[in-house]
Amino acid sequence: MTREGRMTGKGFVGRVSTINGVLSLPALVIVLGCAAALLDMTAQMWIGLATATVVYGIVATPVSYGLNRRAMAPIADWLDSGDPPAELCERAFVAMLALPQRMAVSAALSWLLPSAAVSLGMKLVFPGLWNAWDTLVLVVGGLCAGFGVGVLMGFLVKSGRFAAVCRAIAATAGTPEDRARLAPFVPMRTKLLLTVTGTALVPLVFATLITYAEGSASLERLALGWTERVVRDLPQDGDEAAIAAARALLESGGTPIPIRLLPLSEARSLLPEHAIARLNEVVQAGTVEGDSVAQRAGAVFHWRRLADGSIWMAVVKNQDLYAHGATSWMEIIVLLAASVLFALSVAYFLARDISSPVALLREAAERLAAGDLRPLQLFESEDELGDLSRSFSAMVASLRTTIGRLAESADGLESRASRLGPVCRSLTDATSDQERGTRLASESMEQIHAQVAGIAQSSQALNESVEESSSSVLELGATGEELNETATLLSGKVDEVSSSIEQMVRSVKQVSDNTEALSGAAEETSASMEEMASSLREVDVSAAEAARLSETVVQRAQSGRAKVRETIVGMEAIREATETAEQVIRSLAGRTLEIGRIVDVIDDVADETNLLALNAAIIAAQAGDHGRAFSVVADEIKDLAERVLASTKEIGGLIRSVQDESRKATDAIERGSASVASGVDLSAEAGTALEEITAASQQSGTRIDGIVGALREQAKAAGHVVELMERVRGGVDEIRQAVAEQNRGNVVVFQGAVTMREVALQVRGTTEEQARGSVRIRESVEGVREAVEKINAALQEQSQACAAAAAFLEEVQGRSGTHDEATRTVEEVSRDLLAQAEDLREEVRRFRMV
Amino acid sequence: MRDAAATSETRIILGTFRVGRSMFALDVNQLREVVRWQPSTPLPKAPRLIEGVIELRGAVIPVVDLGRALGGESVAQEASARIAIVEVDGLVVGLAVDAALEVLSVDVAALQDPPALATHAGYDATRAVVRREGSADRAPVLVLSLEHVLESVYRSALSGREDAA
Repeated sequence: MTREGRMTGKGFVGRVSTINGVLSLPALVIVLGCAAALLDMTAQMWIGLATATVVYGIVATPVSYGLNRRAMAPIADWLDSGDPPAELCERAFVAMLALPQRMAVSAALSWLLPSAAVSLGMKLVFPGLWNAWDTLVLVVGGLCAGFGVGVLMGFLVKSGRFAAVCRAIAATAGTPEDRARLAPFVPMRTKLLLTVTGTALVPLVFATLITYAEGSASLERLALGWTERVVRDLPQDGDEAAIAAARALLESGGTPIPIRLLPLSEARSLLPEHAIARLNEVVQAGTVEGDSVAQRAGAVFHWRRLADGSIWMAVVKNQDLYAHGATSWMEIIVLLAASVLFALSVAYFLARDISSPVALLREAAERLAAGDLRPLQLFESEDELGDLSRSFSAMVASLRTTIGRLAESADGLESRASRLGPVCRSLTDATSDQERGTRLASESMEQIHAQVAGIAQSSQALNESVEESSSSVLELGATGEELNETATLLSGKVDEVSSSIEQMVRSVKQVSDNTEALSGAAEETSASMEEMASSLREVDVSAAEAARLSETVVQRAQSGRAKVRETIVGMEAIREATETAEQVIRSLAGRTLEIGRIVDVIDDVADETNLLALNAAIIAAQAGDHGRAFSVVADEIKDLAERVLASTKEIGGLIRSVQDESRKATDAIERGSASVASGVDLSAEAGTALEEITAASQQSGTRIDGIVGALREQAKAAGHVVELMERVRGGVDEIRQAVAEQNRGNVVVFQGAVTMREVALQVRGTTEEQARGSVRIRESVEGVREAVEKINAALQEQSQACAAAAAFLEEVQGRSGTHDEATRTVEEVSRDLLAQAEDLREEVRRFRMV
Repeated sequence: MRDAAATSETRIILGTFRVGRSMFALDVNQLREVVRWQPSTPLPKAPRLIEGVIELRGAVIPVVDLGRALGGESVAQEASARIAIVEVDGLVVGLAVDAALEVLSVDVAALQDPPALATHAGYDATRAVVRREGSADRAPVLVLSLEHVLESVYRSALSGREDAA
C-alpha cells in the first residue's frame, strides 16, 4: 500500500464513526421493536421513552465519539505523520490490533447502558405504570442490540481498507517477534465461544420473551371474558339477595381462577391508587360499563353500573392469574437454560475443532523453528486445516531431505579437505628441495658472472685505450683510398661479427625461452660453460694477435714521429720568412700614410694660394692699368696653385691604391702565418698523438697479458662450474641444439679472426711504404681495435650466457618460491575448507532428524 | 651697363662665381675680397635671407646666402665654398657662394641684354648675359644686379615682418 493511497487520520476516524452510526439504525430498530411488540405502553409513556432516548443520545454521542477518537489517536497520528518514529509505530500497531475489541465493547455498552438508563428514567417518571417487565424487555433488547452491533463492528474494523491500514502499520512496527510481544492476545476459542453462544442466544431470548408476552396476554383476555360475564349476570334492579348469592358462589371457588365480585367502594383494597383514581373519573363521567384494558392496574376487572346506581366490579388479580400459570413459566426457564447450555457446548466444540488444530500447527512450527525435523504426527481433517496439516508434514519431509543432503556433502567436503592437507605438505617439501638445488646452482653462476664481469671491465679499459689510439690516429687525418677500402672491409667484418653475436643472443634467448624445466636450464648452463671455455681459447688467440699488432703499431708510430719532426722544422722556417715579409709591408704602409699627410698639407697650401691669387687679381683689376702686370702674376700664381692641386689629387689616389695593396698583402701574410702556425700546432699534435699511440699500444700489450692471465683463471672457474652443473642436472637435447647454433656463431667469429689476420698482413704490406705510414698506422690500430672488439664480443657473449643462465636460475628459484606460496595458499584453503565443513556439520547437527 | 662702362671704355672686369650649377658674375669694382666660407652667427629677428653675421678683421658683416636669394638651394658647405665681400652704396655685405672661379676681363661688346621676354615680365635680377667666345660648351655667365639682390633682402625682411604680424 503506497503512502499516497492510504487514508488520513481524520478520514480513518470518520470512517469508523460512520460505520458506528450506520450500525445504530438496526440496533435502534431492535430496541424499539422490542418495546413496541412486547410492551403495552400508554401514549404518555411513548412520549417519555422517545424524550429519554433523544436526551441520552444528545449527551452520550459526543462522549462516545471522544472515547473512540482517543482509542484511535495513535493510528490517526501514524497516518498523518510522513515518517513516523518507531515508538509511534508500535503504539499505532497496538491500537490497531486492539481496535476491533474496543469497538465491539464500546458498541455493546453504548446500547446496554442507555437501555438501563432509559428504564431507570421511565421508572422515575411513571412510578406506577413502569414495572419490572418493562425494564427487563428494554434491557434485554439493549443487550441484544449491543451484542449484534458490537460483533459486527469488531469484524468490520478488521476487514477491507482497515486491514490494509493494519498491514501498513505492522510493516513499520519492527520484527515479527516485536509484534508478537506487542499484540494483546485473545484466544480464538474465546472469540468463537462468545460469537456462537451470542448468536444462538439472541433469537432464543426473543422467542422466550415473545412467548411469555403472548401467554400473559391470552390469560388476561380469558380473565377479562370471565369478569365480563360475571358483571353481565348481575340483576339489573340491584337485588341484594341475588348479588350476595353470586358473591358467595364466586368466593366458594367455583371458577378456575379466583374472581372477586365487589362494589366500587371496596375496590381500594385490590387495585392500585392510579387505577382507582382513573376509575372514579370514568364513573363520574356517567359511563355505565368498563374494563381494565390498557389500565396497567396490576389486575383484570370489569365493572357495571346497576339500575339502583350502585357500581359492581368483578376483579381477578394478576398474581392470582400468573400463579395459575406458574408451572409453564418454570418450564420456559428450564428450556431456556437447556438451550443456553446446548448452544454453549456446541460453541465449545466448534471452537475446539478449529482452535486445537491451529494450536497443534503452532506447536509444530515452533519445533521446526527450533530445528526439530523429526516426522510430524499432526491430525487428519476434511477441511482446510487438514490440508494445512498435510502440507506442513510434506514441508518438514522435504526439509529433512535437503538438510540430510547438506550433512552428507559437509561430510564429503571434510574428508576431501582433510585429504588435501598431506598432499599440500608433500608438495611443499618437494618444492623446498627443488629450491635448494636451484639456489646452489644460481650461486655458482653468480660467481662466474662476477668473474666475467671483471674481465669485461679490464677488456673495456683496453678497448678505451685502443679507442684513444684510434682517435689520435684519426686526428692525424690522412684519408687515402686504401684506408677507405680497408675500413669498408673492416666494417663488413664488424657487421659479420655483430650478426654472429646477434645470432648468439638469439640462441641464448631461445635457450632462456625453453628453460622451463630446471634440468633443461642446468643442461644449458653446462653447455654455456663449454661454449665459454671455447670462446676463452679464442680470446686467447685474439689476445696474442692483438699483442703482436700493437707491437707493430709502436714501430710505425716511432717512424711517423721522425717524419713529423722534420715537418715541424720546415714549418718553422716558413713562419720566420713570412713574419719578415709582414714587417716590411707594415712599415711600407706606415710610410704611405706619412706621404698622404704631407700631400694633404701641400693641398691646403695650394688652395690657400689659389684664394690669395684670386683676391690679388680682384685688387689688380680694381687698380686698373696700374695693376695689370700684378694681375698677370696673380693669374700665374693661380695656375700654379691649380696644377699643384691637380697633382696632389693624383698623388692621393696613388697613395690610396698603395695602401689598399699593402693591406691586402698584410692580410694574406697574416693568413699565411696563421696557417703556418696551425700547421706547426697540428704537427706537434700529431707528434703527441703518435707518442700517445706508442704509449697506448704498449699499455694494450700489458693489458692483453693481464687478460690472458685472467682468462686462464676463468677457464679454471668455468671448469668448476661445469662440474657443479653436472652435479645439478644432465644435458638435454634442446640445449645441445643451442650450443650447436652458438658453435656455428663461433665459426663465423673464427672466420672473422682469420680475415683479421689477413687484414693485418695487408697492413704489414702497406706499412713498408713510409710515405703512407700514418694511413697504415691507422689500419693497424683499427686491427687492434677489431681484435679488442672481438675480445669484448666474446666476453659479452660469455657474460650474456652467464646472465641468461643466472636469470633462468633466478626465475626457477622465483617460480619455486611462487610454487611454495601457492602450496601454502592451497594448504590454507584446505584448512579453511575443513573449518567450514566443521561449521556446516555443526549447523546440520542442530537439526534433530531421528 | 653704364656703370661698368664708366671704369673702362671697351672692357669690363668681372669676378665669376658658381652658385648651384649656374655661373654668376659681379663687377670687380663692387667686389672687395673673397674669403673662405665660415659659419655665421645668426641674428635674431633678422630678415629671412640674412644668414647671420661674420667678423672680418674687426668689422661685423651681414651674410646673405646667394643661392636662396636667387630663389634656389642653399649654398653647400663644402671646402670650395666662399664668401664674396661686396660693397653697394656704402653697404658691405657678404654673399655666400659655392665656389669662387676667376677674374675675367670681358669685351663690352660681348655683353648682351637679358631676353626681352623675361624683362617684359618684370625680371631684373640679371643685368646682362656674357657670351663666352670660342667655346660652345661653356655656359653663359649671368651678370648679377646687386641692387636687385639687396632689394629681395629687404622684401624678405618685409615678408618676414608680415609673417610675424
